[in-house]
Amino acid sequence: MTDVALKPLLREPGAWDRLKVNRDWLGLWFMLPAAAFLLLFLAYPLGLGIWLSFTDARIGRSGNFVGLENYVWLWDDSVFWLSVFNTLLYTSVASVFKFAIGLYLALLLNHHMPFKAIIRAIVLIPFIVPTVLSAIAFWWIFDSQFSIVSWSLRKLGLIATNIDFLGDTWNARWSVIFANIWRGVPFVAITLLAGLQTVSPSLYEAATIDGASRWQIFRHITYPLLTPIIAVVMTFSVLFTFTDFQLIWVLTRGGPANATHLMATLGYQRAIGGGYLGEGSAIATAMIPFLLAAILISWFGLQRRKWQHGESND
Amino acid sequence: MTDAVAPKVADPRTVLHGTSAIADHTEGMGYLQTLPRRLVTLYLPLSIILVVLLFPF
Repeated sequence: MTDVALKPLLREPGAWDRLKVNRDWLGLWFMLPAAAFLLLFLAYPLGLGIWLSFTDARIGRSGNFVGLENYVWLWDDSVFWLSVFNTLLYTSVASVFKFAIGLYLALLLNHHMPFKAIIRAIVLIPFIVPTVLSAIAFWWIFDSQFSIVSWSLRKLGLIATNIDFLGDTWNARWSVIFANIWRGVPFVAITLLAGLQTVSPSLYEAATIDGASRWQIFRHITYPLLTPIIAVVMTFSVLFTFTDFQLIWVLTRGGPANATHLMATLGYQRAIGGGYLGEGSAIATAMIPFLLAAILISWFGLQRRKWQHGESND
Repeated sequence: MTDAVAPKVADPRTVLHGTSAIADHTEGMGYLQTLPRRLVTLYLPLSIILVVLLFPF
């Protein structure tokens, strides 16, 4: 009698009911919003960009598939190769200096000193200020007439005429590289400082007692323990520098004579300024192999060693 | 003997603000450094870098 009464209440759970409470599927449900976000805002634009690079699309007109024509055109384009050279120079020089100065600054900030928290906050200012704002400040600093650097050097009697920071090709290149280093150093320094604070002081004390010099302490304790975080921070730094756009666009717009055109700025200029979406997309797509190479070098060259997991090296 | 050590241990400023070497854990054996050495190796380069970083503002 009781069985008959309960039967309608205890209906068999359906497949959907089982999925909703299945622990194996729970991870998928939690992942779905982030995956949808990534697909919509990262994968779709990337896929669309790659597709456009194989078309002759222009602004206001959907293009036809033209195969590798855009890439063949770029292969013979001297301005494109100049932008590749500029991008590699910009990325390599800026990344090396950002790493060296950032590591040095991190080591300095790791010392005990008065107003430590305030100083660390001040160091971050160049990174947190909008790029356009800091670029405008550098625009004034590098101005051919009103540059404070030229004015100071003239007052000191070191130069006779103003330096043409952004009008000369090589001056312009070094100027934008300097501005990028200035902006990127705080990010590297603060990230490496976080890594430095995980190193146990007892290691330094033991090394000091053993008579190790400052260089030996750095070489055999600090640097090996920082390697994993250096890999991460430098990968990010190289990627951000390689794809830099705002700083160049505000300071020089790629000039003079395309001397500071990076691949990102040239792609924008061709696609949006010139209206050749296909060609601009091809330039942007051509950046992908360089970025993949940077990631792979970082991954295989600087990844966490086995001994950092508590195992012995092979 | 005990009286001589006690004021150092019980200094309320260092305990509250955690500014002593013991509380900080980052100094290591930094107390071996002299002030002139700290001025040259720490404060001078840090000041130069800070001035450069803040200069555009």
